[in-house]
Amino acid sequence: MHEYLKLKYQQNRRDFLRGSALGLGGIALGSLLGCNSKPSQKIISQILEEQNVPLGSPHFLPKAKRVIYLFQSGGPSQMELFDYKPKLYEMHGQEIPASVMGKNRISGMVNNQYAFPLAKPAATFKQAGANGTYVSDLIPHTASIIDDLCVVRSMVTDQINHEPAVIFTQTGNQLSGRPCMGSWLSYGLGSMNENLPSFIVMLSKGGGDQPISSAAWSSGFLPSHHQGVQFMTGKDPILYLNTPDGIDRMDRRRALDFIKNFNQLQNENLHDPEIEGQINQAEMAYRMQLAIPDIADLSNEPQHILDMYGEDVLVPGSFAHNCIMARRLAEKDVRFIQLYHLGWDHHGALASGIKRATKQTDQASAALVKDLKQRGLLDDTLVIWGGEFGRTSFSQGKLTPEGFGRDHHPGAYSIWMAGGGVQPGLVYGETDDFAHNVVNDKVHVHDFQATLLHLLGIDHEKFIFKTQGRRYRLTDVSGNVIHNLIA
Amino acid sequence: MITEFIGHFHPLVVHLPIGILIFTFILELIQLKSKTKFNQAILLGTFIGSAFAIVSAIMGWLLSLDGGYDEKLLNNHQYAGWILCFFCILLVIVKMFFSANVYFDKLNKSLWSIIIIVLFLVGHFGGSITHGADYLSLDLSAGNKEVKKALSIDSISALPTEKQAQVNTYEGLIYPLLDAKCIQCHNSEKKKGNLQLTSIDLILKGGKKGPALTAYNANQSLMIQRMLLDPANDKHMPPKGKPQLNNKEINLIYWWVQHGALVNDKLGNALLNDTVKNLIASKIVPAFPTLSLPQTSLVDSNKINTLKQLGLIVQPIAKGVGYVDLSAMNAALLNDVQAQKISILDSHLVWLNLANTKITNKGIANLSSCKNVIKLNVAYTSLNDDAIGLLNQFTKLSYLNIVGTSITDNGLAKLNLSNNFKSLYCWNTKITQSGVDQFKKRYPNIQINF
Repeated sequence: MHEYLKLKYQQNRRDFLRGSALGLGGIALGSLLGCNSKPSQKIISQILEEQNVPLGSPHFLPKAKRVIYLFQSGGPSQMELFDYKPKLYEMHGQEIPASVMGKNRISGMVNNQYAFPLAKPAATFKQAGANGTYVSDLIPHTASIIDDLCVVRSMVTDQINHEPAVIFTQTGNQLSGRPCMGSWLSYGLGSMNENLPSFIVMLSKGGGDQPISSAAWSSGFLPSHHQGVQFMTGKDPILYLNTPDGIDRMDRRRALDFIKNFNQLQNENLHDPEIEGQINQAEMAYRMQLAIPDIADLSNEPQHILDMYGEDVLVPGSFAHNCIMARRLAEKDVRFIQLYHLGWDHHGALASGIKRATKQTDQASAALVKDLKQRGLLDDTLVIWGGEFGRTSFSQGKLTPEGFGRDHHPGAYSIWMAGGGVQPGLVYGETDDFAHNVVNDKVHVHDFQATLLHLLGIDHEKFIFKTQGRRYRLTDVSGNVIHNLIA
Repeated sequence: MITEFIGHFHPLVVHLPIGILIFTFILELIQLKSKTKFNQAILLGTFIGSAFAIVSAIMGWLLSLDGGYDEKLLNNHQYAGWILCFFCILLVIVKMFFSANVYFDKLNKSLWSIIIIVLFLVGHFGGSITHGADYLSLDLSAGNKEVKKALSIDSISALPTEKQAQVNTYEGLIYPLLDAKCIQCHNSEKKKGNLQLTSIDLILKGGKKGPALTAYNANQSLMIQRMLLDPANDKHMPPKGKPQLNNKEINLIYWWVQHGALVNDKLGNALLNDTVKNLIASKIVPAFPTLSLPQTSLVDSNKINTLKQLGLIVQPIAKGVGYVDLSAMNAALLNDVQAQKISILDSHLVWLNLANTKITNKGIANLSSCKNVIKLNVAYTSLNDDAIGLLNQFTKLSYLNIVGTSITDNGLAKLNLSNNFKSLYCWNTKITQSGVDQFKKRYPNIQINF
């Protein structure tokens, strides 16, 4: 059969089975009751025609309206940043106790290691803020705003390798193909600014790192125009957006209208959702032609604001530049702003690697929170800082003062959140003396996702999209809202 | 596996022999008194009824292998069942081969009497197992149980504080939880794992694996350990597919055990403890954040369309709520005349974002009918000190953003805030540190971001 016709007559297996079961049952019931079988038919068709409808408005009063997710890709080490463990300094070089190691999964990279010596953190710690929270000296700027942050030290994930772990955090499933958080929110709550996409992605590279796949900002089975729009690192954040020389904007408009008519004609015949996606994206691009140059132009930022973000702020593609862009997008009410910083995968030479990564990210992350706060935006903007997993307390490879590294560790890691209704100044969760296992207040990735949706006013169990005959959620089939994190 | 599955049909199939045998018995009675003869039907009924009796007895035996039933009741039911089968077979044999015998009539009558009596016994025992032995008795203590069930964490958090203190912790909080989520399988009839959770003595007595709890030591208490296991674990309680305890409920039981699993303690003592206080206090009980405003009707869609034509974005703040959020994000050219239209939303408007628009003091004056505005953002507009008197008319404000306006210390001094006010954003204005200090003296509890 022709591909398009297939699409037109598509009915999936589950719907067919249910339809026939309910249909036959309904007919049987109808004849048993000796009545007209119309009502039962109506019920059946109602169930089959259950439509996927975006929420439009949240389920209940939201605390946050937008999200800035500063994703630290590679897996930042919790022991060098937020989870101070004096025991690691004392027991430096000793084997990790078997009771701590347990039978948890370790990655293939250290599977052949015959010894697992504990490595003391390549950082010193000081107490900061009103609560005296221990924060690494590697991140002095973050320490200076610790009273505004909610640090979670008890994160747990299911995945041990980068790609599946990133996809798991973003979509709730280790395999690519499901929508990520940004797409879910773009689909569910819609746009707050008609001239900009509601989900924007920006990358920055720290050097020598794992690549990241665009599956992490895919809209999966949701309509295509909800996928993350990636801003490029360069003068023009979006390629081919400018109208070419000699072409008038009105001409562009007429051309788009003409193409749109064709597309709609085709859509009436084929009902391919991709056609609607294409129409929406073309319209969005047209409106973005005016909005984007304004956003990308930093020339109207005063010097003292630029200085807050650090010396890299004017270098396109740096984390600092992306952070100030994130603030500008948040000011324009973009729903979900996703940053990825690649530079945290320190299997070897952790001491120098983490120094570089923190230097690239610390000042700008803190500046973003401060800048949002002074503008009154932090109230309803949720800022999240964190990676896909943590790192091991034992050394990967030989334990040397400078050269040692740490392997992936899904069993415990730290993230922080700020604004958007989370409890400021809170340190949540507790790990054992080796930052290896969570001993108190575990927060699984699904719990984190459920809490995030809750802050945006969404009940994660009722936020559903049905496809392939099954209902899907961001939190898959689990996840509890952690109310203690919420102010 | 499959045997258990077949066993589960016992409660269904068991009704067939009861019905068929009783109906056949009725035919026998009619035949005794009237001229109508039902011999063929009676023979068939006896045969089919007996066959089903045997089938359901076998199913019942398979079901009993599952365990978890009151042993005494189960034994009675089982023996009576086998006896019934025996007499049924006997009756069939008598009817088929000895109908010509001189003693047939007597034999027939006595066999029927035995079968009917045993049938009632079997049925009664079986019913006691599934519905509980006291199902048919008039329970005079039912009133007491009612009280226990009427309470729950949520209902207690709704009580006034003095009343909360009077609630018995075990009866008011713990027992209803166990009753809702555990006692279904751990009661005097259906003691899974030989454990009953219906009273504190029975909980302490425990089941197969020992006492279910150790007072003052929640971590060592089997019951708590099982609740805290991963839900995928086979030993997790309540088992997969049954209603689960949520974190709040587990925390509460944990606290109760940790503090001695007392049965006579009043909640007043428990409320001295932060964990319980947090659980009970309405703030932490996850009531979804709500506005402290009365219910109101939905906004007329015509009004929303009028505003949309000005480029304004208007949305209900939550599904089915009549209060709306208005943003002028896409209407940078919005002027005072256009902004006057916003007042058609009157008391429905709670969040108002006019940042970066062309609105002036006059435009704010036109919005006096919007008396429920809670969040107001007028950042980067040309508002000045004269606007403050107009801002004071929004008496419900809790968030005010005047960043980037030309408001000065004099204006700030004129600002009057309600008790609900939380945060003021006045960065990048002409307001000075001394002005903020003065203001903080008037409103020490609000957050000022300057």
